[in-house]
Amino acid sequence: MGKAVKAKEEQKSEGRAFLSGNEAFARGAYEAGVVLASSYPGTPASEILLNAAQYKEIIADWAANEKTAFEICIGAAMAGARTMASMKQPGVSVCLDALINWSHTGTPGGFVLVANDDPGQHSSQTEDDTRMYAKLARVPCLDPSDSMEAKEFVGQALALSEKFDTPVIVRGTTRIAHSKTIVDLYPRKEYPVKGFERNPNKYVVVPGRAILRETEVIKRLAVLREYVETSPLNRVEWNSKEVGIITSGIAYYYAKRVIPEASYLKLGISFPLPEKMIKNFASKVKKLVVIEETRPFFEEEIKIMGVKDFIGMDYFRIQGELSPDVVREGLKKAGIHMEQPLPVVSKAIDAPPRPPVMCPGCPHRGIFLAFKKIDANIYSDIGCYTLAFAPPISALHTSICMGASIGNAVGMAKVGGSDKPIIAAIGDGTFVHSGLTPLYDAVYTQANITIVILDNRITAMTGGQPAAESGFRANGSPTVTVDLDTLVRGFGVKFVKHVDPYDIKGCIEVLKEAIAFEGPAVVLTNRPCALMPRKIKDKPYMVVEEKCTGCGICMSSGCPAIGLSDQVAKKSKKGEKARIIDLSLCTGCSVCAQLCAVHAIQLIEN
Amino acid sequence: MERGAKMKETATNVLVVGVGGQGAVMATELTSEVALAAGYDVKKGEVHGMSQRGGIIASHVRYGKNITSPVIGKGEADYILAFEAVEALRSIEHLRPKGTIIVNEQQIVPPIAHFLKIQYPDNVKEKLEDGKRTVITLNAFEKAVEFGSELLVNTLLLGVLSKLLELPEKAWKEVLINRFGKKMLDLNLKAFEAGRAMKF
Repeated sequence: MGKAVKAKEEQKSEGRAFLSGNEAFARGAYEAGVVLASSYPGTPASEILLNAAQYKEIIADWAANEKTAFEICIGAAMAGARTMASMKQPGVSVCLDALINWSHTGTPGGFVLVANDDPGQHSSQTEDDTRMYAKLARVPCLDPSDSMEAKEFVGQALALSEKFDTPVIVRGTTRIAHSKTIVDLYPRKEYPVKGFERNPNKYVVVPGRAILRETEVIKRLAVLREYVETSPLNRVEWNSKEVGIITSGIAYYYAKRVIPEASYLKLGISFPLPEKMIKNFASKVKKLVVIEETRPFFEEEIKIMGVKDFIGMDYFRIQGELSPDVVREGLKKAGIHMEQPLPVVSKAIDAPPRPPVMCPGCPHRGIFLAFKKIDANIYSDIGCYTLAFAPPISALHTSICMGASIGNAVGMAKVGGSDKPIIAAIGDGTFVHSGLTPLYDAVYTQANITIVILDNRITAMTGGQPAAESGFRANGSPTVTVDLDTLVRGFGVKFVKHVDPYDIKGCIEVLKEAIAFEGPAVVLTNRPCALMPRKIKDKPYMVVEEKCTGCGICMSSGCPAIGLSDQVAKKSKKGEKARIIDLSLCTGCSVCAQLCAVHAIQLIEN
Repeated sequence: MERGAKMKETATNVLVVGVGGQGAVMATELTSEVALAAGYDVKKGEVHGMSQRGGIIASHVRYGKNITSPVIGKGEADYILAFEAVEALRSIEHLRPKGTIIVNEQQIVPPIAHFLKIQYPDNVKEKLEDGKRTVITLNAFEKAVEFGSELLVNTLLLGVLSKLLELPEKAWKEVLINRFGKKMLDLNLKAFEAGRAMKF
């Protein structure tokens, strides 16, 4: 551990725990006296707020989106409270306007943004790098390598924030967020909320004043560049000077795993970089290597410093996640000797793919099958329902970014670009996140589109976080429920109808009406998520052996509860296998029974 | 770790694979707790997010004197515990030569397989055997049902694994006692013992 961690030893430890990076970020906020935390769910960052909400000292809530989360945190920090915003990296794109402006004003209360990147795109649309946003906003970015650092760096970030009058980013990655390592726990230190002090020159960003803030940002960055040269968060570990590695985050441990004999410059602060330290390190090693995730950020910065002779990203990968294997392979390619023997890898064996699917009883299944029957173009969005793009449902045609569906549908309708009906399909969480504003556009310009709000009353894809449609808050306490019906009527939508998404025929009828309606029409589905907050398990359905023809139409629902029997179907013409339903998985949604033309799928009454 | 020291690892690498919802994450969680109780440095991890929707889960535990990476590379797993047969096949590149793989023969057919007309592979044990590694197969699902609940698959398989790992039996028992409520504890301890007692 670095000095930063050792300095804490004077404090009395409260013991040790085995924490994930995300649990550690939350613990860090607790120990460092954070009073308010806000976030929007997104893998791999959701567990941060979830865990922060477990501490009664922290007011922790899910916000409508990352920008409102960030702005709520700004409000608290303006009052002098220590605050933490957390989100996945694409969320930083959503709150970028707020981030850049808050960098200009500076913050009286410690302000940390924990942003988790997702190298390898395990659950993200893009593979971007928060360090680039740190550079754009000219705010410091810390880069922890394990859970202990994840926890400590939150406290360090808050201290830096107050010292340098700037928001500070702590950037995690999926592996940091979801790996568990040993953490020393310390007691919480309280930082009282000082209260808001008026200072329009600082907090009113109008051009005449903002230009003065710009000067302050430039000065601050210069001071930060000096600070990072001596910060204990950046450290050199001298070993053999044959190879020197500049790295940060999880990549540090991957490199340590495969080449422990090398010297290391471990960067705890990934922006701004310590130029003197880097040049000094580079001058003392024979071969310089830069290992980083995700973009070649250090690489470009180091080249700008004039250090150009090093082994960089080209040797390791162009895209995707690093791993000890990738690091080893890259070092080998670069002709670097490693003391440890290379592992012997056995031959791979073919295994059928296992992509994620909609759960049994998922309320999105029936309505998407209805979309398919009416052959509409489905402009959709981000959530569990995005899985409907894949076979066998294949009834979703676009998914660009959070809330894009409605705007996309408006644009398509305006230019007459679709010869098929235009439907925007968006989940309730995504609708609240950023679907409200394009709904305004649809109403304002009277776009002839149908908007289907898939209201399952929870943020399901990310593990079931509540929103205003759910009726409870992050810590489980009850709250009001936002009525989406009233909301869309309030916008001026004249056609608003509700459907049962399990009822395919009923959905088709209402959708046809909505499509025929001139102007924007809204259809709301009314079934909750099958898993959360309560697992749904109604009486299951079964296949009546005497009736099954083995046609397989039931499987076009893509339900994991339906499988193939060992037996040939009794009514089969070509020897097809009968279908069977796994009673332990079936929730009784009835969608497959509606698809079966020969009524071979029936409810088990007893 | 001392600053500047060369870290030489002496690690035991355990990879647990399966289908989301089967309990692979719980298995590495319990194994980690036992290794922690035994005084080791431990790192564990997996990527979650999509696995809940019937996707693949691969959870890594590494324990030893000084652990750096939480990720087990290809050819580095000393032990693989596969909760599902196809996932055993998928994971095999990670097993080191002469390593041991424990395979629950339970088959969970990916729903997409029917649609793509892919056959679920047969003879999984034969496919895995290469004359060097140890392949242990059992149908933990059937055994668990015999013991009274399909929920016992996890502890039964952990029983089998625990016999191979050099971690104290007492620590395993204590971790199980802490983990399970009164209602399920007896059954879980029985399933664990049964797994430990199995001869292969």
